Amino acid sequence: MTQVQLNSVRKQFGHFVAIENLDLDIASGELVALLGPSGCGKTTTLRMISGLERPSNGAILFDGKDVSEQAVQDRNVGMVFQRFALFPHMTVEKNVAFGPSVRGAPKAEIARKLDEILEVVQLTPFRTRFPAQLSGGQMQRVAVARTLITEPSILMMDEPLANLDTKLRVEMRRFIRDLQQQLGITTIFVTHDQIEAMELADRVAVIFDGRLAQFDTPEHIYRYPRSLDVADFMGATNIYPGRLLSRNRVGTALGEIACPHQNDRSAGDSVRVLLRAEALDMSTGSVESGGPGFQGRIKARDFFGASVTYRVACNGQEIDVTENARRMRDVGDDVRLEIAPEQVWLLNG
Amino acid sequence: MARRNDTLSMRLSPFQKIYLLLVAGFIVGPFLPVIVQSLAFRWAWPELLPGTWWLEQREKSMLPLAWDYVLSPYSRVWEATVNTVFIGLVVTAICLAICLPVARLLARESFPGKSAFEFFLSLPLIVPEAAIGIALLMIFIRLGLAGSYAGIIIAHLIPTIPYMVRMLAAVYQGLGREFEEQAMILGARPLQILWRVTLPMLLPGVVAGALFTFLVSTNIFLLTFFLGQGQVITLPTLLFSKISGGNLDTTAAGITLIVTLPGIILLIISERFIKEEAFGKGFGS
Repeated sequence: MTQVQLNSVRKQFGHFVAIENLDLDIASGELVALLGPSGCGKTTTLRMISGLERPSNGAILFDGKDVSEQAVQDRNVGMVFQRFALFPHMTVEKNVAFGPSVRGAPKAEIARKLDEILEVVQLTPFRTRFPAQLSGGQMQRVAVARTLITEPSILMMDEPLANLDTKLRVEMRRFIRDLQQQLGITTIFVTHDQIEAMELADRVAVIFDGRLAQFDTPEHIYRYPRSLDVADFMGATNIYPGRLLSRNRVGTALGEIACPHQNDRSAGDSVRVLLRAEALDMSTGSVESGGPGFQGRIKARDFFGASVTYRVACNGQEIDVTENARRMRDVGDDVRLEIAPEQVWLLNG
Repeated sequence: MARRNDTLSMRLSPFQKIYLLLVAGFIVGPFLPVIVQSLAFRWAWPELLPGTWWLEQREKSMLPLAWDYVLSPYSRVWEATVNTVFIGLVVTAICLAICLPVARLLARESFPGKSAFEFFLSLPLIVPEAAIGIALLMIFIRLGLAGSYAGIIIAHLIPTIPYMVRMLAAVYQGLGREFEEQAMILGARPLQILWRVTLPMLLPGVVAGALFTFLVSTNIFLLTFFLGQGQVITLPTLLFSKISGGNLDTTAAGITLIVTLPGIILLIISERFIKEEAFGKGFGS
């Protein structure tokens, strides 16, 4: 149970600034994702927390204690690497026992802990195998066990689900979540995949170009992104420039849209309107004159199994609409689009 | 065994078999006359095989002539063998100690002049050994190193370091940083990392490099000859003194066979070591 705090941390490699004034407060026992495109500095951040890199400026605090200058070995952190970094010349047992063994724990204690942790990760039958004889999921469980046996105060993971196939991802996601909740260990992981971040994390820190863009719950980041970059990275497609007509009405090329009451903006402000594809209601038929909604025609259809995304031409604009796949519409259908005001989100233009 | 041979001969075309036989001939060929010679009593031109074998004359000599001489103290074979092995081991150890950090640097870091460094790494292999030997001799006489073990060992490092650096750099390139970083995070100190993670993972390369260095060192004649000044004799210099007269007699054949022994023994040991120790039972615990 450790609380992690980054105070205006900065990291520079030569002339390249990897991280610029990053402030981050991670609560004890929290599961946090560092999300961003590759090269944004998220891995550097993780490496600084682990102690593999020293910050150029700023401080890293564990439970209020500055550890910026502490050696990796003394921080008592755990890290699961993207490609697991299992020692190929050691069996599963030897890999898992590596931590306590180099720390000089008594043999009997190592043996007891080893049995216990192998049971937790369900690898007891594989204890004498070499990493080359394991599947991807088993390798990851060995890597997790090897880290957990050292009882780290913080668990870090680099792209934990990236190297697994779809079915295994679901399994490992549950496994990591359950384990994390069972142990209550502060966990930080890095990913470039917004789905992975949303699936796993309590809170997501979105990082662009070495700066923290937003740090919030997955739901908030998805529904209420603070910037266009965040919205774009979270997969939003329907973003239209517009102008506030009043505090709860916005004009766009699609037409007039009712929006939540804007306390900080006033009529005439230019904004960008985010309409999430799954928040739009689509129905057959046409808009009564003066009634709510827009008239459109389906131009294309993408089938994803559980859901379908239609591309709808609407007042000279294109708009994506995602629906449950129970009912399929056809290309060329005339449709009416509506959106509830509370589902509309405005970004600064 | 018989079945395996059958399937082998069935799968190989005549051409493939001829090539295999050719290479086998080149590998085994040089040994045959030497082995025959070492067991001969008299073998004079133009006989294709010895006119008199040792076995026919065994009441005159307890052992084949070659082995009788080689095993006697007059031959100084024992002294030369001990010297050769000792110098080979020390050269290998020093070479490893120098080349491991350098190989790590070349594989992982970039620095100004790196490509030039890599390019010129092979330079000592291009300069004729005789030139290096004479130049070193001049310097070592002044330094008092001529005719000493230290002098010979330093000289042997010159042709061996380029090979070793290249071999180790190649294996270091295959070893990602994350293994050592993972070990650090798990609490291992630098020496523990080197001993338990880095070296075992580099082991195939280290063994290959060490083996190669040892074999090169035990076979260097010219540098040892110049710098040993006749005071330090090794198997190659002893052999040269035997055959410099121009004829390969039975005793020279015996010494030739002895010269190959350290290498063959090492080859067998390293083969077993790489297979069983490193990847069978695990290492370093």
